[in-house]
Amino acid sequence: MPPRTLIVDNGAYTIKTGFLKVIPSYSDCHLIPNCIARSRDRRSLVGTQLETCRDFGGMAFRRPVEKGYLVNWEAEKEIWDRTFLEPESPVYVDAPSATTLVLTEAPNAPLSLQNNTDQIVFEEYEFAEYLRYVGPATIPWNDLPALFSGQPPTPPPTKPAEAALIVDTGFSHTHIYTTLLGQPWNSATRRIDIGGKFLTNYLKELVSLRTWNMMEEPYLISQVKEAVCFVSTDFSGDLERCKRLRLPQNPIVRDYVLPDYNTGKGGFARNHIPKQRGPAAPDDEQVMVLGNERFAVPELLFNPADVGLKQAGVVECVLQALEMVPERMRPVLLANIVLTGGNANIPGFQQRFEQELRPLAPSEAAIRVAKPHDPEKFVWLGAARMACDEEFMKRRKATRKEYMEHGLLYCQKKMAGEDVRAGGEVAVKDTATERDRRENRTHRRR
Amino acid sequence: MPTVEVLPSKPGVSAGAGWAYTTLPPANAVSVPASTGGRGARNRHSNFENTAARQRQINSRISDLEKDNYRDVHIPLPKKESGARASARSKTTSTQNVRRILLSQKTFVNHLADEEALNPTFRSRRASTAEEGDEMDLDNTTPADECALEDGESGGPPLGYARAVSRPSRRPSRTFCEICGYWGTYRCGKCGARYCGLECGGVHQETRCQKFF
Repeated sequence: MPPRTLIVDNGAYTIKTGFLKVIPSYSDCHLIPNCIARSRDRRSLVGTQLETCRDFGGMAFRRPVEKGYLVNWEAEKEIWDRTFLEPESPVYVDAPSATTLVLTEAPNAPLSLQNNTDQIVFEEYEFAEYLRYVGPATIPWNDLPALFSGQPPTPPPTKPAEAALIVDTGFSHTHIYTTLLGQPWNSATRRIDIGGKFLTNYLKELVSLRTWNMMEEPYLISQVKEAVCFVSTDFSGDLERCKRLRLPQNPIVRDYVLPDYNTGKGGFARNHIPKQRGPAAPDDEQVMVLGNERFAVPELLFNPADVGLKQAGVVECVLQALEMVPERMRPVLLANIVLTGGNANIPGFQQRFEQELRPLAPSEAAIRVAKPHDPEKFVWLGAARMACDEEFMKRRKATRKEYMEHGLLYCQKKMAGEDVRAGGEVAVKDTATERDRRENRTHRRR
Repeated sequence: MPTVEVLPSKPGVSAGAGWAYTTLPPANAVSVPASTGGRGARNRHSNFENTAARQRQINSRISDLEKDNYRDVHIPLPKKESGARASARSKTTSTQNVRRILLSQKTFVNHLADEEALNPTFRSRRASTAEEGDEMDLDNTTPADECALEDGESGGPPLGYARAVSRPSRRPSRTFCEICGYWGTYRCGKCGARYCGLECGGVHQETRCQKFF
């Protein structure tokens, strides 16, 4: 059996997964909801079973990934089992012992969670080879020059891009991540605790105060968010328009016709139609009117302080990250900004980002911002192309044999790219220095 | 896990004004900026945005916005249908580590606290910039290989969760009407909620104001 490579981008909202083909493309990547949902009639739906559901009313979710980090393995194992170990699944792994797993994680994951993940992968699933790598750090393997010039990407293997500043705005949080020569520049990583879930909940709160009580309907609200929300390029102007103009003339106000789960009609957005006087129409649809909520919600990505969160917006954060990079690299990074993650799909995100960054960046620096065709799967694609880089993979991946022979620490060091030549011996020496360093640090503090 | 954070308070301020309970992890908890007025209890009323009570409101709202579900629900795993799953390992022989991980009830906040105990972080360190990198820049006078990194030059080890958080924004904060979402120019004298004008103020007084006296 030929060895296969499975790429898994284990996101909080969806697992992006697929097998590595010679030329990886978006179509090899499957999106699997990373949750266990419980519907109104108390059925539990795991992963892809969610697609079979018709009634999303009052649905509750259990997500194994908490704040972007894989925490609850009890639930995750259930989802992974159904995704990877059931023959009818599109990503059925028939023999983990002949499969290489490339798994992504969020930056700055706590060590204890990394340990858990590694142990489960090797001891429970028994993958033959394994590489855990920071998600945004795989972006440089994508053909970024082609992305910026709008050409089709060259087939892998390619060398990683020289410099990239990645704005990864996902379901749980937003990260600014910097790589130089394919290597992460760790001190320039910045996190904003605002992601898709936060936006959905904020919209839920606003809508519940103003129109319908939607506190129990996270699924519906996330659909509303995807259908109507946009990032305003003129926030105060749009806010003014929403206030001053009467509803019929207002170009911003839209209707969202709520789904009817009894008849199975889906919800959809449309331009605002004023309510007719007189008796209600026979089809009796329920409409949610959305005004300034449409742009006030995604605005949080640029101004988290609007809800009182004492953090900087995406653009300010980019500048905070650039402060940590040597000065001569800053122009290169400003010319290589990539927007990934689901929130990059919000209309107007890129325009607003460019518009806000331009006056804050040095005037002589060129700014290039690219949004890939599918920002959600872009990290997956990067990881797939990284897996094509055989020399790199050989250096970094840990095999099950090594795990059994040298243990967890050795494998983690190898995956982190630290020097492990003579097996366990060097690894032990390294821990001693590491411990030393830690002790000195606490000592100095006293 | 609830954390009790003692916030800076001035001796003149009456007890209870300078501290707040927070359920956020330490990295997220926002602390009260030192009051600028310094006139004690009388001044606190006009400085409402900076009071501990307001901070408590904000913190609890933020942690509400980070929740998956509106209510706390326990969703059990569905029952295994046949039991004969094509698992890599037959279910009787999962290793000790695996069993421990699967049974662990720790949440992310617990893991973060563990991490914090192992490597204590100093919040002040976060603010330091790349001075070493800049010094190196002065020595490097060859623009030919500008993009090349010198040997051993790197961004250092990962920062860790707490230190990677972004610094506060430099922009002035904005307030919004809680009724309609327009600018919140006015503040309810009783409960501190923001509203935009007479109309929304009236709605607030009638239905939303949390203090009745």
